[in-house]
Amino acid sequence: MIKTDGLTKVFRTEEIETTALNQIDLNIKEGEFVSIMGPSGCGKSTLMNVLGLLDNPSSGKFYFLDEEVSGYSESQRADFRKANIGFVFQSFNLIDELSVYENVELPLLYLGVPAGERKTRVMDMLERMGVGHRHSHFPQQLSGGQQQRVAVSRALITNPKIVLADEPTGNLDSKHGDEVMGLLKDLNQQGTTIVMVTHSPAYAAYGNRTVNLFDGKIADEQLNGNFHV
Amino acid sequence: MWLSYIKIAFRSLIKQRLYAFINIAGLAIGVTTCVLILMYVRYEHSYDEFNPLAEQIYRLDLQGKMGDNEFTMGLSCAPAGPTMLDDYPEVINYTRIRHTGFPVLRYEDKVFSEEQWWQADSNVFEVFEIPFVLGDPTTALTQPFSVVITERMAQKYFGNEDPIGKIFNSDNRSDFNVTGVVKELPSNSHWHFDFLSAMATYGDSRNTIWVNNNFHTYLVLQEGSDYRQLDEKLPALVRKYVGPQVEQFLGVTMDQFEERGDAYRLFLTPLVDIHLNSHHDDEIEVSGDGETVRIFGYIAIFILLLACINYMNLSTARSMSRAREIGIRKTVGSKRGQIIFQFLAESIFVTFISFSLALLIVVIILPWFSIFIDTPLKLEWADVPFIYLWVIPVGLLAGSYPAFLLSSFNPVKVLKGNGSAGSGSSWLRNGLVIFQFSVSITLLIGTMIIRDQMNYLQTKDLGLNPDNLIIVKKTDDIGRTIQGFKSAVREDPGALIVSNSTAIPGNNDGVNHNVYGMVNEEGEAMRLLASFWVDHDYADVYELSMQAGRFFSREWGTDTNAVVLNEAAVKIFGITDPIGKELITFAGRGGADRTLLKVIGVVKDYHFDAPQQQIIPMAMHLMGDGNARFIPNWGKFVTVRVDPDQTMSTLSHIEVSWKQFANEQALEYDHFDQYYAQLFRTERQSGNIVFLFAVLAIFIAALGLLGLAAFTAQKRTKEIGIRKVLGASVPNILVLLSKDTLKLMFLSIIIAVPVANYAMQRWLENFAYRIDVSILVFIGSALIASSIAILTVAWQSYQAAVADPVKSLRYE
Repeated sequence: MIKTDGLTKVFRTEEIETTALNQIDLNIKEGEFVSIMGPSGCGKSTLMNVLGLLDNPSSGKFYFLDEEVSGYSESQRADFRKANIGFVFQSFNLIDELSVYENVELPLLYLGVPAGERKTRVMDMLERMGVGHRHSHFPQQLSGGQQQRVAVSRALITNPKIVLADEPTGNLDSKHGDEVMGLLKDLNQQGTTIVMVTHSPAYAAYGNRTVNLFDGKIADEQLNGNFHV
Repeated sequence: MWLSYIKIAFRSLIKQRLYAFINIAGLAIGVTTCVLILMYVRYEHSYDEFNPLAEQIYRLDLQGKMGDNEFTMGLSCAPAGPTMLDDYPEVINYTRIRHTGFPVLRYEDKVFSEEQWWQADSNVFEVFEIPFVLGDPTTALTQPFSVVITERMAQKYFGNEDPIGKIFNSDNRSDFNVTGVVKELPSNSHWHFDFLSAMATYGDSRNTIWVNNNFHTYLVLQEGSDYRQLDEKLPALVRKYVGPQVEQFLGVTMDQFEERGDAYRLFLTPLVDIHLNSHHDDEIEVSGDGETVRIFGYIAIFILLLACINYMNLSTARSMSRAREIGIRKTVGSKRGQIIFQFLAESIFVTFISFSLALLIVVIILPWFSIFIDTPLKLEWADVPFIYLWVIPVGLLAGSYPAFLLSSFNPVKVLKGNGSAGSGSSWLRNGLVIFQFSVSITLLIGTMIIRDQMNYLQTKDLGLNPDNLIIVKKTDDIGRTIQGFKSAVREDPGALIVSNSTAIPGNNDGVNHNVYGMVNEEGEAMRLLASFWVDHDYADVYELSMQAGRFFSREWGTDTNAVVLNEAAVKIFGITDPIGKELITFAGRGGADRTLLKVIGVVKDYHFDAPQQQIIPMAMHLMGDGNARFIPNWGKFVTVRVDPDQTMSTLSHIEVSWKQFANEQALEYDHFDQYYAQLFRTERQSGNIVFLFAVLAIFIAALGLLGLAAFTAQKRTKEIGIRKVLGASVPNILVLLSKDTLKLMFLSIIIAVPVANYAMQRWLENFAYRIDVSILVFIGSALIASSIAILTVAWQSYQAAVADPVKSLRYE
């Protein structure tokens, strides 16, 4: 599904040049649950941004569904994102001014899905995530765990080929963290490909494979023994 | 999607109420001002357009030069209209109108002194749109002594009776038969009448003299013909008809007349240009000022721009709070174009709310505003959709910069919580604030200079003493008994001096503009002088000073053949020792072509016209003692200098005396100083509008600054916290936060001062007598604007300065 070849990302300011990703070769198959770990500043989030087509790499090849996407324009990346990728963030990133329902509906609006279908899909998704009863509430009225469930609902509403989760439990207590991880695990078992950044070895173990980054490079990879594909 | 945009726009407005208030209120005030001023501008431009033939009607005007004496007037001679209809095929119709004094009208027991009595050719209704209520426009004015009256006059004299066929008596002399009732001319007409009498009544209308110019002549040109082409043919007309009469009266051929630098030119003024762009002598009503109206139009747009700038500034300042939303939208698949669209839609939504609020304010304050600027403005329902049409361009203008800026955010950066426009575009925000305050300070300086100039004109040495003077008007109505009335008034101890004259300062009605001659070093010089008739007490009552010689005196029986000039008249004749010289008049006493008058005195120049106008050359003649032939024995004004401690009792006495002589006709009087102040009406109106502009501009700019101050304080919360932890005091923080505002003010002042100075020097050029602009005006304006700015940010800065640093650091 995803293949990178010598993927490099360099950040330049007037005085400093920082290599955030250095020659990353990574291969993610459909249905995999890949955990990415590493110390702060090792390039985990940068890798997620590039994989999520939020940012272009500085050099190297990046194939997504066999398509070379590294040179895509902003507009092409936006089109590709909305059709294929769901995002879950550590800080949930829900829009405060929109209700739970409206937050989840947002990607469908950008996809031009008709109103009737939107309603059914959003309500189904919220029910599935266990927050259907809170659909008319606003994000600030929910607990952290509930907010992250809404964020996951939003990530999944377009049936993306892949979900990228950047420290999805980082802002949650252990109980809610476990809940969200259970949710991701279930999704993966239902066939959704997941790439997750985490600091927690315990949560990393939910994945089939863990990739360890260090100074922008892949330090090592390990299988977690629960590979289903 | 639309719904989502509107929903989020609405909820962000609710969430950030202060910013929403500033945006909506600022924009609403800007729009209100713009709408009001544009209504005024439209009104001023709409004069005479209600006439269906408006684009084909031209007034025949006259421009001339005799020596140093130049004149341009909205009048022409009686034969010009009919002659042009015969001679030029492009002229398809003409009509003439003339104001005909102030008759006292009687119908049964009703007696009124009227001011708007006009004479008009019988075809006046073919040229001007004057709808008939009763009567037949084709025949109404064909017979002598017929009169058409307005509905208001019909009600005033006849109540519910049918006015047609009723007979008015005018001045106990003539009877006029009412043949028609018409609607009033609308307020945006350059002339108004209450009575239109048939031109055929008056012999003057058949006069064939081309050098007597007493009629307003309007020509109707064929549709599509270019009036400039007809204009080019008029010199030939002048040669053909005026030439022989110049030779007859002045003894020189037209060629000699022109060779010596004199000129006599007829020209056409489009009807629709009369109100704003024709400022000739003898205009029927006070003209508007096209230049000022144009400037107001520009300023109105500027005010709207200031309000749009507030929107731009606050939206970009608030971008930090919207950055995350944009990041999320982009992450879930929104394209940049969609984000731009969203913010433009949001801006249009806010603009729509502001416009609705503005319309409400306009409806509420329009009556007050109309009084304030002394112009009857009306909001038509048809205007509303037109006004709303501007929501989209204004919304796009205000929202464009924020939309493009916000949509450019990198989602990766903004979701991480760094990188937004908060800091990068501060130069732009500052630039816009500088622009706003530059405009505000410019307007403030303008207001102060206009006020100073008005004060100067009102307190200027006019060459006469305007205080404690009562003007009794229409005294010609008691004509032959005027001496008796004067004596009766004089009996009151509070009536210090009483004088009768045909004209008074500030009123051109009784003034004649005649050509006079005088022999100077180069021979006989001809000049145009303003002349009128006075009695012996005129100089005393107005406290005029003599520059040379003496004023008319009862001790000199020969003074009826004497004349008193002003300094300006002496100057244009180019003579140094005028006393004893002879002034040649062509007015003809007893039919004589040339009469010689002896110059017995020269009064120091005094302001006969408005004090902003150049003092014109004048000749004063002594009126007859009641028995003289060929010269007036009375005038229509009696001026009384009163003892200020006895004004009320003197007024009562004047009223009693008036009743003795005028029977049932009501006394009409004015206090000279109040009446004279009317002469600055246009200037005062402009002053009021500019003052309003300045207040609103400053208010809008201050509103914007308030928003920015709140934003700055919020943005610097952490910095303030750290500084306080490190020992900064509240005053230190206040200075820190106010310093930036002061810098902006300083730059605004640097820009505004030269701009305002240039603009106001040009404005002052309109005045023959003007102030030297004081540097205090600039300093004062700068101080006022800076104080308002500092006070505006002070509260926000103080709040930030006294906040608990622990909380602010935790908040960050």
